[in-house]
Amino acid sequence: MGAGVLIASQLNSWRVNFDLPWLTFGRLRPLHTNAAIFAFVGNMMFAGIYYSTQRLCRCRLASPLLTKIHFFGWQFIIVCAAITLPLGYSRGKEYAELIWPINILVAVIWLVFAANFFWTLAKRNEKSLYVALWFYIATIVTVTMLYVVNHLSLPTSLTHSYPIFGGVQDALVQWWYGHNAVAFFLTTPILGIMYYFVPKAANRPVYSYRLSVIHFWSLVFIYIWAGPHHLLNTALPGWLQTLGMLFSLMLWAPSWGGMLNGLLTLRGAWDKLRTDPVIKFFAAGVTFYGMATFEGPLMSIKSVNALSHYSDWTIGHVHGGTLGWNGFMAAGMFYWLTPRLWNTKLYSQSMANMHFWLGMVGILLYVAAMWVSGITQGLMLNATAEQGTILAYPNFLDTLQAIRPMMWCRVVGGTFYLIGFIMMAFNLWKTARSGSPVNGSIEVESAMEEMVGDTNRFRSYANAPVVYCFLIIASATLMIFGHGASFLAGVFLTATFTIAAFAHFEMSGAKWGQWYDELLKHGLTFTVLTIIAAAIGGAVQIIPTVTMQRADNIEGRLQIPYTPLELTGRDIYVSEGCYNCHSQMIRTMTPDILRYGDYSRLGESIYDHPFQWGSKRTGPDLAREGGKRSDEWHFYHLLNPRDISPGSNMPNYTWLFTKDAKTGTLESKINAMRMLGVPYDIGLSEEEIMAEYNSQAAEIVQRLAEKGAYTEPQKQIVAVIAYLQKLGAFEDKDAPNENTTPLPFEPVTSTQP
Amino acid sequence: MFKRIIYDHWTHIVPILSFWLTFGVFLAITVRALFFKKDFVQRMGNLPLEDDANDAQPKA
Repeated sequence: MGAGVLIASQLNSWRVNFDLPWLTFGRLRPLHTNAAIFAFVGNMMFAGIYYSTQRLCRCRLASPLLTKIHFFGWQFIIVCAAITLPLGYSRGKEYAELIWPINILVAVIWLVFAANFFWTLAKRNEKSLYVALWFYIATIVTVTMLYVVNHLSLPTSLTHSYPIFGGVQDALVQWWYGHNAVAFFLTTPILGIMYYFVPKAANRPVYSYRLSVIHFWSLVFIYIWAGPHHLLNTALPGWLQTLGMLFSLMLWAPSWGGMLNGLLTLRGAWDKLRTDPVIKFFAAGVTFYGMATFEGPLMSIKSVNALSHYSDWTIGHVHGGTLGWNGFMAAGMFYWLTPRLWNTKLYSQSMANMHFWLGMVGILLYVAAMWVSGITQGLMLNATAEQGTILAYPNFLDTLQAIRPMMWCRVVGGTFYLIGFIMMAFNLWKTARSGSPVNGSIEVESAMEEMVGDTNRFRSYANAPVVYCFLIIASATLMIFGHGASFLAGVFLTATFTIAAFAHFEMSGAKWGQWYDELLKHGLTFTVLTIIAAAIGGAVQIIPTVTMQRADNIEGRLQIPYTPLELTGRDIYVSEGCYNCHSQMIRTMTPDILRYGDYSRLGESIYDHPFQWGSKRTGPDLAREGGKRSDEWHFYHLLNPRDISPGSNMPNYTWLFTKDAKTGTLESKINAMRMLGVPYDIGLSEEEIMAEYNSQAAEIVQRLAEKGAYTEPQKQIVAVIAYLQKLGAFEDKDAPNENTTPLPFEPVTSTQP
Repeated sequence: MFKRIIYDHWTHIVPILSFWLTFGVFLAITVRALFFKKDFVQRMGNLPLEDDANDAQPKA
């Protein structure tokens, strides 16, 4: 939160980075997002899961050793992130910036957590799995799947790697992961915590257990499909955009079902709202869950997204969820938990109440300011004049100046919220000091004996409903993808199996329900089915996109690979986190085309590992920056952006002028790119690579010197200028004569698939 | 194999498939939930409240 307040201040006053490389917005924003997700919510989630799982399973955690490894390992990862991200070690993918050795450590520690959790489930003394445990299972298996796929990389050194996916494939995988980091790291575990701790705090059972069952399965099934809503109006194929939008809209139903279930659990306990800070935090937290899950689908409507995307509206939306839902649920849980863990009473109720109101005012200030800011800037950027033929605000900086007051409100709101949490830390620390840790054990009655002979793991899979579902899905797949005879066979088999299933149901009566009930007694079976439910969406979207031949899917334009110097510049661009403020994707919208040029095609970024389409435009889009401005313009702009663009809030990048670019691993980087399918000349030796590097660098230095801008070929600034001047270069595959330079704006002559 | 669904017919197929797929999942699980036995639902709903003694209330 501290990093968040700092970088929010930097948006208003660039001087707050003190001209230090490791304090710039581009480097600290990844630290802020990673810390909020993995450190703040992660640690809160682990505490809640460990506490409630033991009680819902009526047994101790399986292994105290694994718990310790998990705790210290996770904190070590957080320390590693806090060191490497400000130093500029980044993979360049949002919420997945950590470098590959830390990725491996995260995976190992996560598996330690998973092993401990499932081992505890295996030795439980309560045969049925309460719904909170379902949400924990979904979290563990889905985060494992998402994290592994999105972090597949080819290392080029100990601190650097390239993602194995590139361009549109990387964009799709990234937002499949990014969206579901929200779903399965920030939502499902907290829902599990809600289903356990809200009934405890209200001292009454969940409003509707039936609704919680519907909530779980529909949420887990739908959430995974919604990732493409982060890529609306981009070069992503239209069918994927449609899928993302529709599933996001359908998410309204399960999300609000869960929200209402949580709120209605407080029925009859509303009087406690006046006095009990725990209930206050839970009631507000669940309400913010409802608000965020209303706003998310709204913003996923393609036309609304045309306004909201790349603007502060998105920032307001995610903070409503993180501060309101995650933060307040964390506060409620800790205020409930700490006195019980130390067998004492809360040190100060009034301080907790003050925390609540500071946090509430802080969130509202923050979120409202971001809504106003996002809508204002979005409207200004999209506004046209003269019957839509020219932009009403052609200068991007005019739109930035218009939202400055809102950006100050955001700093004030964030500071309020941060102060509230500092008060909570003090309050909990004093609470713990006033008591002594509870360390006891109680006798529980084991209900597991009843299960012996009662259920059969094999029957959980091999029974009529599962077999029919499998057959119907298989034959429907044949029908959808098949041609001629296989299509007809698919139609016939789908109809046959569907009719047979109904006939079987009529004959077997109510027995079918037993299958579902058995699931609740088999942790493993339940887990396998959860994986299937969560994996279907990702598989349907990602497999066709990844397996298609890249050369067949370029929309007539093929990116020209980067030279060694340009690739070095790109790595610096990624390392500095420029993608946090600059997109590289001109959307299929008139205002974007008027402002930045012809809309981006799939093929234009096909060799980008990682893709750099971005998610926010604090500065303008750079997809066609190459050739637009002179080398010396970039030289002086990066030295002090305000000399060129008065009013800019971009940091000075003075160290690019003093530091040498790293070329020691260039050969390994080019080899990695080649292995990933980028068509570099085979057999390019280190000498050849460096000769090409030096030759291009010397040309740029010469051009700069002619304009009175002096630097040396080995400096980082030369590589960055080379990269910026390459942006938007593609080969026009449809043109009669090959064109190797970026095309100027041209009328749209074809439609995008 | 994927070309047809991606390029030719996606506008017809994707929205309808999405809806029926989701509707099917909703319907199946809702029907199952409605047929839960009352005592089972009550017992499951009360599971978090059946914790050990030290959870009930901290000492004043």
